[in-house]
Amino acid sequence: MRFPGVILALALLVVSLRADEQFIDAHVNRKLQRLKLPASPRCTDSDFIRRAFLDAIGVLPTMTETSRFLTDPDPQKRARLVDSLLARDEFVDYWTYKWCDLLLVSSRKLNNKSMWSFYGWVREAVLNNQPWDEFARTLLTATGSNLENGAANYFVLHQETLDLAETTTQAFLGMSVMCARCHNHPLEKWTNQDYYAFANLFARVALKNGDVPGETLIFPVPTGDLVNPRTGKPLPPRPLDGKPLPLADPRDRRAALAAWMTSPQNPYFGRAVVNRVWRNFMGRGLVEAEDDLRLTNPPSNPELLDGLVKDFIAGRFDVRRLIRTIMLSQAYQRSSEPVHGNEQDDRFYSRYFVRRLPAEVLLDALSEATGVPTEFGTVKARDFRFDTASISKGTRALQLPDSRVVSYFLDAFGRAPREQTCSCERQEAPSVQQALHLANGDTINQKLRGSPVIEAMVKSNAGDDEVIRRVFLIALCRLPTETERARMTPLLVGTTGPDRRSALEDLFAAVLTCKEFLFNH
Amino acid sequence: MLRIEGNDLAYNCAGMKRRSFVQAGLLGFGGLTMADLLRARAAQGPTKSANLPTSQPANDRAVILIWLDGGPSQLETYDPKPEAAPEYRGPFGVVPTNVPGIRLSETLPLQAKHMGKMVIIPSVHHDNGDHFAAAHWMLTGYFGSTAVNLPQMFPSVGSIISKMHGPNNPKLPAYVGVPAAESVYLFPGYQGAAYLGGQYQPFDADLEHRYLGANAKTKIGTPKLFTDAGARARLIKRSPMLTSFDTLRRQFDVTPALQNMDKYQQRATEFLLSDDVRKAFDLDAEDKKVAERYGDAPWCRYTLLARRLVEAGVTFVTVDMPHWDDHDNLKEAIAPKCATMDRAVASLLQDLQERSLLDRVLVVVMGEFGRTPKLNKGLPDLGRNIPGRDHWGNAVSVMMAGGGLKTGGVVGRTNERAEHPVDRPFKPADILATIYHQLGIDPSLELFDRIGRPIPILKEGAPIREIV
Repeated sequence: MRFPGVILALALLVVSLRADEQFIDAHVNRKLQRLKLPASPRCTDSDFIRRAFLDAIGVLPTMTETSRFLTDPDPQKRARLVDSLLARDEFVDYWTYKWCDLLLVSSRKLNNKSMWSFYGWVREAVLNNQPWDEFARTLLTATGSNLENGAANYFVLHQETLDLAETTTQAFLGMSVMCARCHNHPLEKWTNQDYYAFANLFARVALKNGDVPGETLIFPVPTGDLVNPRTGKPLPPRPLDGKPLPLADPRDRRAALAAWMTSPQNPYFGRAVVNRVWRNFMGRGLVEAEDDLRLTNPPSNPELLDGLVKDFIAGRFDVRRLIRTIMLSQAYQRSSEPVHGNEQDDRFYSRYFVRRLPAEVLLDALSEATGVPTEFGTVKARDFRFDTASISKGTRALQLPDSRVVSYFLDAFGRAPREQTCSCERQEAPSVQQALHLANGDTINQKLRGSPVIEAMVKSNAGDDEVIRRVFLIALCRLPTETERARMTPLLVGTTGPDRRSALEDLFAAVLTCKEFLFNH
Repeated sequence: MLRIEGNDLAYNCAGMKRRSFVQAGLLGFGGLTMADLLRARAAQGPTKSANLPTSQPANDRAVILIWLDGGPSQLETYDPKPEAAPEYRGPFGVVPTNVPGIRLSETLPLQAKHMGKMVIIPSVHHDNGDHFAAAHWMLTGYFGSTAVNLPQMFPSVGSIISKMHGPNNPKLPAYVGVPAAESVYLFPGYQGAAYLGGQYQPFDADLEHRYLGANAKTKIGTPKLFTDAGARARLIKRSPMLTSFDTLRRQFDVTPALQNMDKYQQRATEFLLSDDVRKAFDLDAEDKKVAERYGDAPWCRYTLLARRLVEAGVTFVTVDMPHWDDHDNLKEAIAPKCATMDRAVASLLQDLQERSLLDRVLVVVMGEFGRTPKLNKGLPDLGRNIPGRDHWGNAVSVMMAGGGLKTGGVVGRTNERAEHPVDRPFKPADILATIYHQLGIDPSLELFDRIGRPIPILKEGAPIREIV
């Protein structure tokens, strides 16, 4: 009788997927009603395809993909698009990059081989959609060679007990316990005692050199304790809010830590990652900043966050499922255009919140639109202590394993340097330097001068209207309005040969530096 | 204590941060004036309103920092010890200056004629021999970054002045690196903004020519960014098209980031097309006679460009003069560097005087540390046996000139071998406090770091009372 069982399971799955999207909207809409905030209408298909590509996989759709999507009559096409995005290689690139930001994968403290090993481990986990609890458990209990087990590099990067404790809570529980290192904060929950008891869980990790250069072996040791400097005595190791372990217990304390941390009963673990993923798509975390979950910084919609976490845990910590659920919600699919009455909303999701593309996504989008890949050279010049990472030709910014690969563009647009675990590392705000670089920097001008896309347009003798149409589709995923066409045409009209090429470069430059291109909306 | 918002990026999209507001409110009755509060608000401005000067500058002073990267020997520059034994004294004699009783190393004959405009502080010390730690300390006033933890931990003096003072001419950047801000071969190294955020990083004038040594023959003219006529024409043609797009109009009003990007793009275009900017950076347009006095060496040309920039309204210019790490072959290696630096600084001081800018422009000459007073045996491991000097953070000479300081003297003294201070020892923070004082910046103000902790601009030190 297995067959009906499967059918039933499938049917339940369909129902539960439908329910998933609905619970998000139920919570969002209830909040909007209570606040008397009108919601903006559903976004256009153009908006959706551009937004979904950029948010989920960090690349622009091609002109063909856009045209096909816009003309597809299927009412389920948005759901189909989401499913196809979740299955793409670029999805793996994007989310690997994101978790590498979180785990500080870079050649700053790791040699080249170790960095690639760590990167490879993260990538494998994303590729296999490893459940988030398993991901954390594997990382936090990693042992053995850091070259064979990439996760072990976590303990190469963070060798001090306090650093491990603080980084781990920041990365996986989305909160900072650092203040409690020195004192009890009058408004916060974690005390100095909590802190040292918790940190003692990390006190028994040891490192030694391996057999080959650059190899480090990570292993638990049965003794050793962190001493609370105020009392001069160690505290029995205890997870925050958890039960203490006996000081004398020789077993790997990290296993107890990982079990407590990833337990479905742990109220912080699911919230932290759900909030990070939510923010990726919605532009603002339910808790903001995304890794500042504390009692005195409550979520803007607690019921929604609870609902998302419950669903995430019920779905066995499946990040891809969480992404799908969010992307299929009405809340994600709203227009970014305000309607009368919701102009002031910046946290209740009555519209899609406009934001600048992240540095790497923007650089890749420029490469893609012009058809000229970015050539990444060396790791930062000062790094004489390490080998140079070799970045093969055609690697996109989002495929870089290392935040230290030299790129003025990525620095100017605020990539995370991966030096400390904090969402604040990434600079999202626009700046004059960015504007200067767009106006007169090498990045865009070199791409325009070498662009095979422009060359093909010149050679094909495509008419002015057709050229403008294509440029808009490539960069903005929409057709130009009549007014836009009228404004752009005089630039092109009557040009041939080198003049035409130069006019097309100007047209591309305008489109690739306009706000609509630079921002996701 | 008044607290000023430091990081514009991380937490506060909602304007004034609760914590700093509470701070101002609590102190409002005792000591904090309305003007202070308005200043606090103005200083919070950038969270919404961009890279504008954060408050009305207290004056129109400017700083030219001549950065001698690598660490120049105190004995071969501003703190010679002609009476010391030969293995301390080193290969050079001394020259008298135009201030009776003050002598400089004979490597600096041109500056000797300007001693009346200068102050020498030979008794600075941080006691650290790590290039990175020392450079960070000298440039930020804090011990922080080190060779094993390179990223900049505290903001540089230039970035703080950029934030707290802003440019003297709003059309120009507040903080410029010439040709590019650098320390210990990191760009911008510890001359960067750290947690203050990207808009307080130095604007590098000429990325094509950087890190040139004293003997470099490269011809230095107007930086390419300001000479490329094609770029200018392109920009004039392209920038109006940026307003040709129909969508996102309504989103503009509700999205500060969009408004800011728009404003920045306008500012960038204005900047690149601005006559003020172009003139300031147009080194080729400099008066021939003046240019001849400086000479053709890149360091001298950069110094001349720095003068043009502060004259036009840039507030802080850092001029990079690298390669002072002379572990061996001291005599041959340091002579051309001193000669070039000497000509650059002497020409600058004369130039500033002739233009009546001496009171307005503070010139600071320093590197990250001094050198071991006792000559070493060279680098025998490398087969180089001619003596040099190693790292020495216990006696660092700093020269300051102009800027409204009381000049023509020496403050502090090292022992007879230039090993350590014996009178008026100073920390790097004292030098920076003096600079901030001359620019009207209170060094006890606190700025927020990335996680919202208030960090004072300086946590120790005071303006040097003999000279302010």
